[in-house]
Amino acid sequence: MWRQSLVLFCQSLLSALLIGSLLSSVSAQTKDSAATSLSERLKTRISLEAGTPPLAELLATLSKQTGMTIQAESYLNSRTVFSQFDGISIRAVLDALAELNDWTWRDTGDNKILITRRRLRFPTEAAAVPRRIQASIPKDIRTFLKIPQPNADLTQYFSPIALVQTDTVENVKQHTFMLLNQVKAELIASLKPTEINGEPLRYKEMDALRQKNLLTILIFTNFEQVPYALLQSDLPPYAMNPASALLQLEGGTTLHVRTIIEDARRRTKIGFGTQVKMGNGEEKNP
Amino acid sequence: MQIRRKLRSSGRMTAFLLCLFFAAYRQGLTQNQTVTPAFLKKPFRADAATRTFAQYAKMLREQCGISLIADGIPLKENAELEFDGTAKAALNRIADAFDFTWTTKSGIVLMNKRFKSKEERPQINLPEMRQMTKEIVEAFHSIKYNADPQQWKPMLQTLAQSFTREQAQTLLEGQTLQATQLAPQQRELLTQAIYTMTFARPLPAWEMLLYRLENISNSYLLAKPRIEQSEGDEPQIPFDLFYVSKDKNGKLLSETIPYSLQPKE
Repeated sequence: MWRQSLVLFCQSLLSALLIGSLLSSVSAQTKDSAATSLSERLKTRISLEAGTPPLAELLATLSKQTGMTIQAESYLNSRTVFSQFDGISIRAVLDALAELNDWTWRDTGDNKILITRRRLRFPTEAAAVPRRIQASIPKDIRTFLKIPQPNADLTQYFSPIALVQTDTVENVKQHTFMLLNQVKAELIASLKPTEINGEPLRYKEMDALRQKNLLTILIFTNFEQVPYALLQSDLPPYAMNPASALLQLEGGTTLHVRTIIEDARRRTKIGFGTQVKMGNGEEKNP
Repeated sequence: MQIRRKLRSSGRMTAFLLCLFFAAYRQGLTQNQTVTPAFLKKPFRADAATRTFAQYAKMLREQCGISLIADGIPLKENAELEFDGTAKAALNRIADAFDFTWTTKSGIVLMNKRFKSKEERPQINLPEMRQMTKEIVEAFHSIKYNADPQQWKPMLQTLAQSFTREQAQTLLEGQTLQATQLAPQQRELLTQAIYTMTFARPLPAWEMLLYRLENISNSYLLAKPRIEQSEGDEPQIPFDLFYVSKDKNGKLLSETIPYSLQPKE
């Protein structure tokens, strides 16, 4: 009796294993064929006459030519991209688009491709905040503001002092000031005499150029106000690693938090301070 | 037997090392060689004429089969160029004339604006700017500090009050006190003072910008004629321009958009 049961048990176990292996091989085959079909589709050759459409329009054309659904994160759709392709694979086009704008693309299944901004994994510490800010900024604005290509490796330090010494900060300030002045001049020139009457000129009723100029004023006025150590470099050493900060008292009443950098040519003090009343020296908790 | 085993194992090791060496050598080769794509070596000729960027791009495609993408259109409408050389030399001159830098990726020429020209501008689109501002505000909120930008001063004052006799003496004698010489609680206070000083000041401007961008459709400009011209030599526009929006509490905010007809040098 027990022999029969054992045989039956073994038979069912074998059947289960057989069915399982068949199913898994079918699923693997489906995955393989999906991957093959995607890799085949990515070889589709693209040809496109020169034009400067918004990204959403360009991707719609590419989707039509490849039979895939190629989309970007919605906030990227209004960017304009000049493009002309002559028998180039869609994979190469996607790689080039990503490289041009510091984006990335991925297969999201179901024959869909999604283009997104390149996202870096930053450590959750104060030292990474400037890099997180810099990585949020589109590549062209970063170039305009002379912001280095952000990376998540905090051991590669971009000194704010070096920036000041190379006049980068001053150049960027000057460039931003000129941009703001040009845009304001265009906005002012666009006003008709009948509009200079103290009546609201509503954003939603403005033409695209006036809206863009107003937006540029709002954005770049804000960039003007961000300290360069957050925008174009890393934090000063005392903020990068507060354990390395030095305290100094000047004039007996002003307490400074500093980093002192000495090289062969100069001694640079960088930091901040305020007037304080010193404790009476009694042991107490802060 | 043992000798044979040893020989076999040392043979495997040698093969492994050779593989490693070969891989490193190939890597070195690819890093050191900057191979010029064949299409860049193709001849490119054009008579001197004023053409737009798109026209030059089209000619590059027709003569050299060049596929090209660029970050938007250049502000400069046209340039007069003449060519009799390679596609690479032509790309250098076209990029320079229209204020681009260029490179290649997967057989495609990529052109990015370089902003050497004072006229050229980055692309500004509302959805992208909203996303950027949102992420910047999130970055400011990713660590702990006091959101009041003035609070670093009382923090340093509290720190100064907490100094021991030895710490105070060190400072009064003109010597520096290192953060590592502070007690853990003092060091935490110093860290908070540093972070508050560094991050709290720019935060309100970015929070305000985010709110403004999210509600921009309700904002407006006001151009009010000036009754009296203010004194001074600088020429002025005959009206004041204000940008009116609301803050998150619904309070009306009116800001002058300052503009001078004589830009500062």
